[in-house]
Amino acid sequence: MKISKLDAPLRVYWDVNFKHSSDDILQKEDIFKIAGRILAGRPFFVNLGEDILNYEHLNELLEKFQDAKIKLSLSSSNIIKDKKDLGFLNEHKLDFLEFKLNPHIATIKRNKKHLDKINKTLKMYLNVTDKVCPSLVVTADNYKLLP
Amino acid sequence: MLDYFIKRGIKYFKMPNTFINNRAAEEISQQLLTFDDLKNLRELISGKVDYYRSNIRFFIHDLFIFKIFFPEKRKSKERMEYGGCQAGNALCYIDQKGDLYLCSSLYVNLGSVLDKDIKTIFRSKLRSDVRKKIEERFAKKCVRCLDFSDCQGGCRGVVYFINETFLQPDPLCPYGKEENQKPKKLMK
Repeated sequence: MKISKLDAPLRVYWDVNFKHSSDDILQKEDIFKIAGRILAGRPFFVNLGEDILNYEHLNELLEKFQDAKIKLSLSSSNIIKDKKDLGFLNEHKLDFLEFKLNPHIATIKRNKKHLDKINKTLKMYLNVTDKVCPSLVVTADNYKLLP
Repeated sequence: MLDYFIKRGIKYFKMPNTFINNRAAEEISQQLLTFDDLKNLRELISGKVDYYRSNIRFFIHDLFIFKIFFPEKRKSKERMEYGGCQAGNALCYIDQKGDLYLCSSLYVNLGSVLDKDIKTIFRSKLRSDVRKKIEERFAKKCVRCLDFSDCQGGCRGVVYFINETFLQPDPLCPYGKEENQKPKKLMK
């Protein structure tokens, strides 16, 4: 194994969260401060994982990363109800749009109707990826719970 | 699950390493795969690997799971981007509070990106100390194993989470268990 280099291009996984109602979660200015420092830290790939969407802020954040011309991936575990909600992605060119399956697995097990919602969401995401990015990736790290 | 995705036109499937971070140890333990799980997975997809591979592009972070889907790529150099554990080297994880970790599977907090820039955090003694351990501390049985140059110890974060030391084999390694036969380096 090679000894660590400080100047190697960096792959950054960032769980950004735009929730504003909890003290635990950062405010917008802090989130953008982190974004600036990530961009200054020689990234070649950034994965933004988010749980609670604030489309306006997310849009702004994606714009910032877009300008940096790095590989960009957005992960979401939200079930976006409406096609319009994904409209903000049309403004951006993502390399990957990911759908995180994990948080939904337990719900699917309790309530089979939830699977229908996942079906609809995946269909919607597939339509969007045709337009805004080359690939929709389904992500699952909780293999043991997969039905 | 893979059949379900293929039916719905999903072409990419990503299996990242186990997310460890600050979740409850019990919850993480329930999710960690064992060598027996891997055996079950191998049996489950047996005969269908080519079908899955021709319909879905896989991003598999774990070397041992990767080898189930790509058994012909026996050497890690044939696997794109695998050069041993890259935690805190070519990758890092930043949580919702802005704390930077070596990897989402290796729960070592290097400090807040709100307080310091990433370059400063990467120059820290803590990072270089942990990287040194990742690169130098392996189980004796791993170092003696013929496949060591291939796997390079597997997922070091999972090893550390389970054992609180890097001196143990990856739980998914087929040769990690005492009862399993393991190839040894030939002594001159």
